[in-house]
This record gives sequence, C-alpha cells and structure tokens, in this order.
Amino acid sequence: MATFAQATSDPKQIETIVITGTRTAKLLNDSPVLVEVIDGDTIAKLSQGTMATALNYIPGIVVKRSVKDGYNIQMQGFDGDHVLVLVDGQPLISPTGSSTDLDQIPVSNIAQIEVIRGAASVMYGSSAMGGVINIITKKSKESAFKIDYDMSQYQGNAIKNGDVNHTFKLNVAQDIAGWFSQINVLYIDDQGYDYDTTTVSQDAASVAKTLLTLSSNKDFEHINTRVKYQWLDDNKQRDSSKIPGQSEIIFYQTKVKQQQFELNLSSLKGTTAPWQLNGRYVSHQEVSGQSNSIRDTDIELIELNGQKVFQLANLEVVSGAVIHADKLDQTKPVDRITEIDNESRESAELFVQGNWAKDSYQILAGMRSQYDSDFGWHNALRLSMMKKSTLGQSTLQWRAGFGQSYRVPNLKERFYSFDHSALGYMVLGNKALTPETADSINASLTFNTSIFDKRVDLRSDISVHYTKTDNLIYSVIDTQKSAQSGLSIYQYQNISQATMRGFDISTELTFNQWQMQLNYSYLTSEDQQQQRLLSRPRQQIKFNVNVDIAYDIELIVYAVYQTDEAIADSYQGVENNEFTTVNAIFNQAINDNLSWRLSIDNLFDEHKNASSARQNLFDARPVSSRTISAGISYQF
Amino acid sequence: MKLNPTFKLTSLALCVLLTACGGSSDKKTEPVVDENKAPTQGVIFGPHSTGSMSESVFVYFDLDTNAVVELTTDQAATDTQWDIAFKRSGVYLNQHSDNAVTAYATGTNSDFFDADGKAVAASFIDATAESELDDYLAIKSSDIPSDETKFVGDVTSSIIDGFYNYNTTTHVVTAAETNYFIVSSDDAFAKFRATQITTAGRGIGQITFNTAVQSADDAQFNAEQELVIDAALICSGDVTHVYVDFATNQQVTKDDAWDINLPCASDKTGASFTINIADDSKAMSDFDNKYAKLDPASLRYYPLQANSYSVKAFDATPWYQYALNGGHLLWSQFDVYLIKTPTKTHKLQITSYYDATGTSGNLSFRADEVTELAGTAK
Repeated sequence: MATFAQATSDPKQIETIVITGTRTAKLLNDSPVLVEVIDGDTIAKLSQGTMATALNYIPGIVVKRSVKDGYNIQMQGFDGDHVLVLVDGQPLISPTGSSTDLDQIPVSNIAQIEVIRGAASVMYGSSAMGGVINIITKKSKESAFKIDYDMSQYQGNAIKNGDVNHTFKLNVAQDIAGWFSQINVLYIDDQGYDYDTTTVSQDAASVAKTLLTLSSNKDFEHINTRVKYQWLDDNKQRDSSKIPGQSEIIFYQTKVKQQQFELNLSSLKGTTAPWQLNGRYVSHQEVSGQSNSIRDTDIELIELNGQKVFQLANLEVVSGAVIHADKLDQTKPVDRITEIDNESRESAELFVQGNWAKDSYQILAGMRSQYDSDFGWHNALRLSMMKKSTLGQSTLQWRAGFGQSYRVPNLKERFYSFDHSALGYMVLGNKALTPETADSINASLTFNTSIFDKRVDLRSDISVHYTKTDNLIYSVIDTQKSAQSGLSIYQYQNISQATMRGFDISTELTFNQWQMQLNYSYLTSEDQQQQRLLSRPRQQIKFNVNVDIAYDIELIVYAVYQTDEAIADSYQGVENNEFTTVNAIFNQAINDNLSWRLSIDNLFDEHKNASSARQNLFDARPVSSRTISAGISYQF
Repeated sequence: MKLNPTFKLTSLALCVLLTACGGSSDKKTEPVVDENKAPTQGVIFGPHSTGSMSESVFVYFDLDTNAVVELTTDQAATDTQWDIAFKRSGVYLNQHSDNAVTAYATGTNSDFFDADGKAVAASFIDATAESELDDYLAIKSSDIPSDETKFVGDVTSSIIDGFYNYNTTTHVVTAAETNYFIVSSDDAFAKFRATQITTAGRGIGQITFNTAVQSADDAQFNAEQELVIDAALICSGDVTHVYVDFATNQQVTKDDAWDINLPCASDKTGASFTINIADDSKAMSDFDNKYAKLDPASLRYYPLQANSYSVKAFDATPWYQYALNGGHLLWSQFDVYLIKTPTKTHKLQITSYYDATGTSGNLSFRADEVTELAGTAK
C-alpha cells in the first residue's frame, strides 16, 4: 500500500521516523515541525528514472520544466532557487548556483522523502526559504540484488514512429570484507518528443543519462564510517532551429559530467551525545546552450559539516557548523567571452537549535549565523511550537512557527559579465550583494480520527503561510554606469520585495485496501508594485488514490489540476491557463522475486500547444506527453 | 512568383537545343542566341569570418575581383581597392573620394513584411540561398534606377555641426543661435549654443557660447550662462586647441576636464570653424531646444554620437531581421542590393550570417556585376 503520511496518530504510521524537522530522528507523530513523508515503495512505483516526475505527486509542490530540459520545483510561491533539495541532508549542486535539477536525482535506493514547507534556513542554511525536500536513502545492511527494466513510448508525440525509450536500473548490496557495499546504476535512453514534426524545433530533448553510485560503510567500534562516490553523465539534445538561410540545424544541448565524493563519520555511542561529520567534494562540468553559442561551465564545491546533539532532560540541543567553498568558471568559447572568471566564495556557518519537549507540547528555537567571504555576517532566527490535544478518539495537533530565512547570492549574481554591447546592453554581477531575506509565519492544524467503527482513518489538515521577502536579487539598470558607457548596463541588485501568502487544505482517508487524498492549495504572490509574480499558479488541486486489488495488484492514480498563473504583458493572448494531468500506475508482484508494471503518464496528453510560442500566446500547460510504460523487476 | 531553377535551366537548354537543331535547316530565320550574353552568376562567396562578438574584425571586399582585401582599419581608411566591408551584422561602403561607393536596395523581397511593416517570420525562416537565387539572377541593368539620388553612401560627420551660418553671397559668418547641442560626459550633460561669432582671418576670432549644465544631482538643465572665448588671443605659439569646460564655464587646458575644443587655425589668427568633443564623450544636436532635461536611465535611446560618426547606408535598409523564432538569430531578407562604384554597378545578396556549424558573424553573399541580361546559375 502506498502511503503518504503526515504527523498523525495513525497506528499504522506510528513507526515512521523522520529526521528533517529537527536534524535528529523523531517519530513522525512527535515532530515539532510538520513533516510530510512519502515512502520509498511509493516513489519506486511512481518513477523508474529520476525525481522529476515523482515529486509531482506530492501536494503543494509545483514542478516546472526548465529551459535546459531539466525540472525545478516551487513551494509556497518560491521558485527552485529558493527551495532546498537534499540527499541524506546534504545539499545538491546546481549549475546556476541555486535551483536543483530534479532530473539529475535518481529514483534508486530511496527509503523515503521528507518535505518541510516554509522557512528552514536556521537548520539548513541558504535557499531553504520555500521549503526543504530531503531524500533519504536506504541504509539497510542486508544483501540484495535488484534489476529493473522499463520501456516506454510517447503516444502521439514520438519523433519517429516506433521510438522506444529504455530505463535500466541495477542495485547490488553485499558485505565485502566487513564493508557493507552497494552499487546503484541507472541508465536512461530517451528519444524525446515533438508535438509538431513539420517544424524544426523539438519540444523535449533526447536524453542519454548514466548515474553510478558506489557506497560502502563499516562500523569501527563506536563510529560508523561511510564513503560514497557518485558519477553522472547526462546528455540532452533537441533541435531548436535551422541555421538561417541554410539547411543545417542548430540544436540545444546539455552535457553534464559530475563526480561527487563523500565521507561520513557518525557516532554509534548511545543517543545522548551522537555526532556526525560529513565531508564532500563535487566537480561539475557542463556544456550547454545552442550549438552555435555553447557555454562551458565548471563548478567545484567542497564542504565540511558536522553536528552534535546534547540531550538535557526535556531539552534536546542540536548544534553544528558548516565550512563551504565553491568555485565557478563560465566561458563562451566561440564568442571568446569569459562570463565568470574562476570566481569563488567561501563561508562558515554555525547553528544551534533547542527542542523543549513535554507530553502535550513542544517548543523549538534556533538560530544560524553565516559568515561569507563577500558580504560578511548574516543571521537567522526561528521559533516553532506544537501542541497536541485530544477530542475523544480524535487528536488535534497545532503547529506554528515564525522565523527568518535567506538565500545568499550565487556566484553568477556576484561575478557575471554578459557583454552584449553590440546590441546595446550588458548584464553585470555585483560583489556587494547581500542575502535575500524572508520573514515568514506558518501555522497548521492536523486532525486525526477514525470513522465507520474504526475501519477508516481520517486525517485532515489545514495550513496557512505568510511570507514577506526583502532584498530579492534582480538585474536592474544602473543609471550611472549606463550614463558613462552609453549602453544599458544592467546589474544584479538587492532591490525587490514580495509577499506570498496562501493556505493548503488536505484530507486523507485510509481504508484497509485503499487510500485516497485530496489537497487544495491557494497562493497569492505579489511584488512591491502589487503585481502578481509570474509562473505561479494561484490554485492547485492534487488527488491521488492507491488501491490494493487481489493477486498482489496495486493501482495508483493521481491527478494534478493547476490554474490561474499571472500572465506577463508581453504575451499577445492566452492559449491556456487551466489544465489537469492524470497519471495511472498498475503494479503486480508475481512472487517475492518478480514483479511487473504498466503505467500511463499524462493520460489525456495535456501539453503546451506547439504553436503557442510562435504566436506569442501564454500557455500554462506543461511540456509533457502521454507516455505508456511497461517494466519488470527481479530481485532476490 | 519564382521560377523553379531546374525548370528554367531545362527550358534554356531545350531552347538552345532547338536552336541548334533548327539552325542546320534554316540559318537565316532562326534567332541567334549568344550564350556569352547570359552570364553565369550567383556564386556564393564565404563564409567570411568577421570575428566574435567580443573581438569583431572587418572583412574588406573588392567587388571587381570578388576577393577579400587584407587591410588594417587604418589602411582601409585610405585604400581605394575595397568596395564593401562587413563587421558582424554591419555593412560598410568605402567613402574614399577616389572610390566613393553607394548602395540601393531593390526590395525584391518586400513581401517579407506585411502591410503594417511587420516581418512575416515564416517568409524569412523558409528562405534559403537556393530559393532566392532566381530573384538574384533576374536583376539586370534595366533594374538600375536612373535617379542617382536613390543610391546612398556611408556618410561620416562631425556631431557638432551647424553651430554657425555662412552666407554664400556675402561670405559673412554668423552664429546659429537656435542650434543647440548637448554633450554627455563625466556623469553630466551640458547644453550649449553659439550666440555670437566674430571672425579673424579665415577663422574664428571670438565666439560667445550660452551654456547650461545638468549635473548628476540636477533634475534638468540649469539656467544658461554666457561664456566668451577669445580664440584669437589664445591661439598663439604652441597652442593647438582651445579647450572649454562647461561645468566651470571657462576656458581650460588640455589636461583639465574639458568638454569641447576648437582647433587653432594653422596661421594662429584664431580657431578653425570646427568644434570637437572628447573621445569619451558623446553629443547630439537639439536644434529645436526640446530637451529641458536628459534622463540618465534612458541614455541609450537618445541620438548621442561620438565626435566623428558614420551613418551607414545599409542601416536604412537592414539586410536582416533578428530573433524571429524566439532565438538570438539573424535571418537574411535576401534582398538584392545594387552597389555602385565609380566605374561599375554590382548586385549583392547576403545569403547567411552563419558558417556550417551556425557560428555567427560568418557572412556569405553573392556578388556579380550587373549586366544587360539576367544571369544564369552555374
């Protein structure tokens, strides 16, 4: 049975342990911060490839396709630059400095995904403004072998009739000389799709992606040692235009080679003073852009972080530190332009959070200080609380939090130099930038009860949020520099403010054989001129139903409805601003070793009109295609 | 309507064949077709690289030999061999007095724009060198307009031009009091006009300016102040220029922050009838005195120019459209330009801005001398 759990008294979920709310292991029901959990089994059924499609299942999350054919997310009105995606608590790297490409995170070996909505910078630092998604990997010490193969076809939108996409996954876990080791391989060969094959431009890129993860861990007395290596080779390409006046084609391409090394040491000695220390190095090389104007990007990141937990009667104190450095070099070799010349930044962070817990209520207070090589010190505070109440057989959980969050300027915003003097303008970075900041209030009420003689569990919650952001970074014209040069000189500046507010209402019913959930999200977001922020749907409804049928068959159906995005004045009209996508997954376990599945993504083939962009019409629908997939898994 | 080139060639070959066959039976009545009068045209030259966006270079081209002339920019300024030059999307015509080149756009693809003057994207995108060949070949001598004024050359001018009036009858020079100029330099703007000029010899003896300054802190130009410059007095000995600063409203030296200078006449009797602005300044004329202020944020939208500036003939009839399909691409209109040198008239059609890999700034074009008969493709 697929589960989508929130803090609840449901006995079936009581053993769910979460870590993201406080950075310490907590029973889901005892987390002072509202944490949403989607279990690994459900994720494994939702997607065989990457996180891109799996996260669309989670209520309140808006998934957007990026210009690089990747996927970013929005939470509570914040775009991907302001939502932090973690794997086992460690932030992922991003070529642009902040937003993470979900299409570079494999759906392999996942124990669960934990989601916190709202500000979480005190615990997780920069970019945790709209929320945090923490992908927790399995750390089982049982030998395992699993192999998955899926094939799929884009129905009606294939570039060539008969194009078939392939996804291959391998997971092997084995004890080798006392080191429990795992190897995970993901290979994706996707042909891409095209809504209108009579035009040169292609709508979705062809993809050849390989992800390899090797990890090994061993207990040395009271210390667990874990080493991990990940290698990503991601190649995407789609035709975008013919060369003007010629028959040859210009195509958009993204080639990524990324390597990541991690070392993790953690204490195994009791629960009173556990500690952990993480070190990692990431190297990311990317070639991207139109084939006639390629941009080379080279990123290096090194980080050392650690935390220690103190338990003092009813008070749990988590403290930690982070030392971080990253470097960015960005050039356009054909144009002989260096856009970012091997620039770097360094930072050191300290955080501490106290969790005072009593039987019926908890208080959580924390602060974080970050010192940056460019802007100096920046601090953030947060206070949260939870209160439990009972109403007969039902329980109520009130949660509220007030706090600050921030995003530090990325290296592009600090050092970018985009010289388009020939066309009359330049865009420049600004080393004097300070962090974007937000003050936010979140509150939620969760109601759990059993109905129909305890045969059905009902969970319902409502949460509201209000955030006022300041010092948002945008490129604006610099009048003095423009006057001096006679060009329009744009420079990144801390200039903008915005307000985001909204609410989510969710109801979940769990029967013995099936479960359903309905979620409604409403969002209003405005800048200081009371203009709505673009690309954010005002309303979203997500519905899912998971049914266990006889013969070990499980059926998952989920639908996403989004409407009412703000439309930029530059559009000449509206093609679509309201759409629904429906996905269905059928899975059957034939025996303990063998299972097979069939799925249809985007059942009604709801997607952007191929001609919308050409006609300059707004079209909110996703770049997506009806896709039929079939797959088989074997494990022992 | 365009002819299918294959059809056209086949027709021509058939015609030649019929002529040849018929010639043996009745030589007197068959028309004589001289193939030499249907010149082979339409060869594409290039792609010629004009450098990258950050390091652009000129490509100088001689239309008589259809060859690139290797020159530095300094050499090109005095060279008479080259006729037309390219640098990125810019097209330049030789302005040398011994080889003054002018251009005329025939408008062969005027239907690439709709009735409102808006580019029809599909027309540009669908056009190729092959599809536009017939339009190019069809241009012949009869298409050369007899009105010479339709041919326009590049013109290099001084931006401070028109500060005095010269009466050609009386040969008297007077200040053009209503002709204002605005100079942009050092974060400030200065508006000035000449209000009185007295001559000395063949130059300016004394000139009176009225000046108004809008500094970085000002919302508009301040009230005018008068400034009298006695050039006849200043121009003596080793002094080569008279320098003027508007912020302090006085004559200054070369090492000061000056706004304009007046070169001294060679005989040092006064200043020549020329006013220059500094290399790092720009200026514009304001003959209607309509600018009470300049908005620094909108600076690029004012017609500010350097001291010496050129207006390219091709700027009035651009050969390309930009970003028609949302990308940063230049699409040729494939218009056929007539390029007139002192001795010949050539036709020119720019076929591409890109090399085979799509790298921008690589120009390819057709160029042939215009002949009495339409051309034929090789």
